[in-house]
Amino acid sequence: MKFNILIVDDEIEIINTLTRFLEIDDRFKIQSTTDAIEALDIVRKEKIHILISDIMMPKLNGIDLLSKVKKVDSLIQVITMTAYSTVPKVVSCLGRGANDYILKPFENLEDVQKIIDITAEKLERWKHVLIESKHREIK
Amino acid sequence: MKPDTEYFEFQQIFDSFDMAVIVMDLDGNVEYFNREMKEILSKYSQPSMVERKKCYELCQDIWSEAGNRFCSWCGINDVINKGKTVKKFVKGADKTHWFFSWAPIRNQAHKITKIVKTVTDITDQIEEKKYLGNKLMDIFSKMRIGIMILDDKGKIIFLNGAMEKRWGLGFNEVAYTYFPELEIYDNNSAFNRAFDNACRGIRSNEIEMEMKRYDGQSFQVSIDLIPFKKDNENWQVIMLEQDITKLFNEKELVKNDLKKKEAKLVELDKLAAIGQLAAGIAHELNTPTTYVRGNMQTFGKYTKIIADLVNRLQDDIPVSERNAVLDRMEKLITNMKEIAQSSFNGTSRIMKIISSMKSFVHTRNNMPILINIYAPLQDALILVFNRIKYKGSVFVNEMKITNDINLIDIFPSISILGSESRLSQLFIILFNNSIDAWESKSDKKKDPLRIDINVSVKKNAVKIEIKDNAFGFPDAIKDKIFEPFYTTKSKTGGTGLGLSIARQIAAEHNTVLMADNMPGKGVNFKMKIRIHKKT
Repeated sequence: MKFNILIVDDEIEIINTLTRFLEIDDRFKIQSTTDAIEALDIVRKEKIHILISDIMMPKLNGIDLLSKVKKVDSLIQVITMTAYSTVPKVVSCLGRGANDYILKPFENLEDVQKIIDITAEKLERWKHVLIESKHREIK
Repeated sequence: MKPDTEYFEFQQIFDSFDMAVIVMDLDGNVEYFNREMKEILSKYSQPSMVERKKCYELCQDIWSEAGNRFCSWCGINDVINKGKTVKKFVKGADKTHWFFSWAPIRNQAHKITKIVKTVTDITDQIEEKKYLGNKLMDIFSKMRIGIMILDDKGKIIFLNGAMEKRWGLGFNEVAYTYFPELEIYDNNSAFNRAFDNACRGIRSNEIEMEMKRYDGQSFQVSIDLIPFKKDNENWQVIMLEQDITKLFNEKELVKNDLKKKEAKLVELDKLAAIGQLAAGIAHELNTPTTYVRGNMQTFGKYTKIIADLVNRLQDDIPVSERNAVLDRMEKLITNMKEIAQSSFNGTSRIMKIISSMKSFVHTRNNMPILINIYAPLQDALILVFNRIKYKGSVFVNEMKITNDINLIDIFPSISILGSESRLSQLFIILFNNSIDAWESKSDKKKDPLRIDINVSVKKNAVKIEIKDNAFGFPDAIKDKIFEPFYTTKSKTGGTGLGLSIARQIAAEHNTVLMADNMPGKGVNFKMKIRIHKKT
């Protein structure tokens, strides 16, 4: 299965770095934008499996974006990135439905990839569970 | 003497006077004198004198001792020539003093027909005046305050003991020499102005100036120049001089102390600003660090993949697969080029932030040197940008500022004499104020912060305007905003020093920071700094 990943960060170089690191993995199809409102549009128009979003952004911040995309697609996996990593902030993200979080600056991109992998595996598992339950219904 | 009926009524009035009166024709022939005059004449002259015709003959016994012949040659002629009253003080016999006045009597055709002379004995008053004068001089001599009397040319007429002692001058040595020629006087324009005024009867404010003694010791003195006039003579000037050296030194000490304290306060504000901005600056440093580090990791991963691909190519593989491998390698190499460029840019960004910090913090940068006005502006924007970028936008000369702040290379340089560190501090204070004001707005989400910076050249000056769309301030506090310790941000921890320091920094650059306030809408800070022309 190929995963559509959308990266949102107001800093284009952060997007480029993540993209260059992740795109060599064939499982991922990566899109990106520096504009949170545009990100919401993309989520509305096409199936995004994993949204990696910065928290501090102009116009629309990551927490608001998180709430909005979850309303559009409740199954979308949102990984928030935060530099101001206080416990209340992380809790606030998780409370609004974030599935995981990445600390900025990245100590190690391999760890970032691991977090994404875990999310991808989870989606894979869900897919099997969903398919099995469908099969049972049909039977 | 033959009384003229024409003057009969006058004569009666004259007779009732305490003052001596003589009426004469234009040649000085006495026509009438009153009872008081008769008494004077009988006191000093023979009764037969009354038969004499000419006024000067009548009077000469009384006033001849001093050789006066005013009646015949001065008073009358002056009255006829000038057509108005003439007055004289005259010394008489037996050390007496007199006051004469001659007044014209005119006929209906306004022609002078007769002359009235009045004679007053002022011996007592003069004696008293002399006594008082001597007493006054006596008091002057004993006073601790220095007193000098100068004529309207600056010649020394009098010098008291205090003045003699302080300056090592003896009155005998300097009498009638010009004060400005004395070595103690260091040509002082304020003194000259005040002296010129005093010579026209105008008293100026006290002057503080330095005077030097012959032995080189200098004094700070306060000088008061008082004009005074002796009757009809020219103005003279009484100069009161007080030694204020001690007071002056104390004042200077306090002034220096205050200056030091003010400088310290500015530095403290700088530290406070750094504290306030530190989190944002750290974030701005983190971002490039993050992607440079990430890039390096990616680079490592890519080299491994490329190495594998190279190994693959060494195997005997089908052409289609070989082409796919080559395509992949090409793609990776393109990315690696990007990585190199991105990392280079990232470190440039880090260096720029650090350099802005350095030039802001270094105290040696407080001295004015030749700088480009955009340099402190750029430093300030780099340091506060993190506070602004999530709240709105900044425009410099209508160009929107992005993460990569680069004013110096974009706008033509404008040279001024100034301190980069101090000016960036001023700009930071203004930016922080705008941000804080915007934060206090209730509808800020609908109305993002916008700061407009305009730099324009007007004649010999560069005009810098910093306008925001935040809150402005109520007109009622318009006069207070630049006062130290006045703050509207006491809840959020404002010290109330920001704008007073900003204004102080502006003053160091010979300009005044002004605020155009639009209450509820925003504020526009303006100042003009002289452009430094290359010589």
